[in-house]
Amino acid sequence: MDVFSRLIQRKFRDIAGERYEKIAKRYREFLLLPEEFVLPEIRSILIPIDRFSGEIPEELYDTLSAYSGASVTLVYISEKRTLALIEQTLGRDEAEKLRNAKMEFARALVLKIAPRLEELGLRVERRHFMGSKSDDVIRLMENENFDLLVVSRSYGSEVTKTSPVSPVVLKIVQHLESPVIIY
Amino acid sequence: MEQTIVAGIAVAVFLVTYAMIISERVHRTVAALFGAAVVLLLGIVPWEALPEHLDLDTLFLLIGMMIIVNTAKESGLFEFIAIKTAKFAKGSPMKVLLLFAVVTALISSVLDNVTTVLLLTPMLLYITRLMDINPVPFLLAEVFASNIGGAATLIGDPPNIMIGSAAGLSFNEFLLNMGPIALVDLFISLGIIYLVYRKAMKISDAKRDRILSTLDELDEEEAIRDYSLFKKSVAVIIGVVMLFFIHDRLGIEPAVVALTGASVLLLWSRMDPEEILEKIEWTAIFFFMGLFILVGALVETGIIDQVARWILGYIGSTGEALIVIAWFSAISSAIVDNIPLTAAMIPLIKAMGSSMNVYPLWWALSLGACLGGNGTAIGASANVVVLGIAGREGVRITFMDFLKVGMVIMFVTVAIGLGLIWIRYIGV
Repeated sequence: MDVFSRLIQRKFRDIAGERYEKIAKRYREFLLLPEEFVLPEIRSILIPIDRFSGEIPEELYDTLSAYSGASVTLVYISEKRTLALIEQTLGRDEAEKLRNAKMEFARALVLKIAPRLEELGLRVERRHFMGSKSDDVIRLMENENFDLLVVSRSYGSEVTKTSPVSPVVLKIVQHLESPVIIY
Repeated sequence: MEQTIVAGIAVAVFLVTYAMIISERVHRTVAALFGAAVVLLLGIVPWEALPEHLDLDTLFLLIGMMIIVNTAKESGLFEFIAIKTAKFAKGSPMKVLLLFAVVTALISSVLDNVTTVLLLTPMLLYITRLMDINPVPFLLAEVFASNIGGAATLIGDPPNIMIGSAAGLSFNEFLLNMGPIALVDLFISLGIIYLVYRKAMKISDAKRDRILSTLDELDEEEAIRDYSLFKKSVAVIIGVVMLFFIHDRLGIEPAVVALTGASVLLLWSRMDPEEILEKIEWTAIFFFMGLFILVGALVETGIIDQVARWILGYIGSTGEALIVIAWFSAISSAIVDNIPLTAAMIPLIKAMGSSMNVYPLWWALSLGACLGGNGTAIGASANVVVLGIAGREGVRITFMDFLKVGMVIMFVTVAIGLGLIWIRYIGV
């Protein structure tokens, strides 16, 4: 930057102060370029579910019906650290029992949700694996290029659900650039 | 202290302070206040003489107009005007250039130039991004229109406020003398910009259709944050401008008109006065105060009288003085802030009044001080603000880019203005 550019920027700071930032922010609220008017095309959707997610509300099914023809991946991730902790404290058998119970719960949950999504013209894929609820969702979104993430605000929550939005969901959305629907 | 030493100190403080202001290494307000403090501390300006040097007309006129602008701004009035202007242009680059320049000049003639360009430039940049064309000619047109519009009235630019107050000139006198000059200069400037950038101002029909559909999506009503305040602001601004037209017949000072408008708007809008008064540019007000005291030191020590006598030794007529003052103030304003320049020139012209008719000289000073700022990128606050915004939004306008067009605009507009003043007061 030459000496005059620096002088202009210094004078600009003295004259305008923070006024320009406030004005620009205000304009950004209602000025959109044509490319920003276009909704992003959604071809693949990731929906992570767990026992805290709760029922998918009817309004969300209505919203998802707009993406008819897209593929939906329903993923149930059992928290690896929890199973490891149970194995260390209660033993391998108890951990295995819990794993099987989770598998059964996941299967039942997916069976409940998948037909509704298929009725909307969405192609449903199911996955269940052990891992980290936050890190693996972020990894899947990034590596497999999903266009949209749909996640419950209670996903990965604790039993008491003290936070309005679970810390797991907050961590996920902070790391993603793709659109996210939180229900 | 011996008189010559005191005078030497006053000149030294004055020059050091002006050097600090030009370099911008220290905030201009800090520099002016420091200089003022030194001359007060040394007793060069006696404390009892302070009220006669502090030009309260200028200070209160500025404060009153700042209150009105800051209150009206909260309603979204300026964003509304910007969107309306963009819609009127209907995606035509020529119309965008013309309409934004005219609107900028009109608003700048009533309100301060910095606020005007701060509020209109984001919209102008948005439109040029929509049109996918070079924003430089549009930004330059906005800068020149703001400075030219400000020259048209008593309240348009701080130098005019200072000149009006010092010489006792009315709003109508300014409008009659500077208004026609500003009108001619505005369209000449736009013509020059069009000639220089005409190739960059063409867009296809398909692009124009796309722009029109995007502009249709914009709702100017959305920009209005407070409809009640919006209507009250418009009413008060119109009322204040009307009062300016008749202030001399009513025998009231322009500062009183501005303060009345400000207090009516505050009372009517029920806005939190603390919030509004906080937004007044106190740094600018204190900058003026510092300058008045600094120039007061030159008056007190007799320096101004000596310089005036020296000038009068070389200049024999009002015509010669007209040319010298217009070009000196124009060229100086392109380099130095026009406010300190005007503050120093006013007592000088007053002192010349003992041996010639100085009435036309006030218009020469106004012409040079206001339009000289078009010459360089740092010549006026509006230039700095538009270039600063452009830089932040990724549009690079270098000092040389500005200089090439700015100098032409400055010389042409000052020459036209000087010609009109000459025809009016000296004769053909």
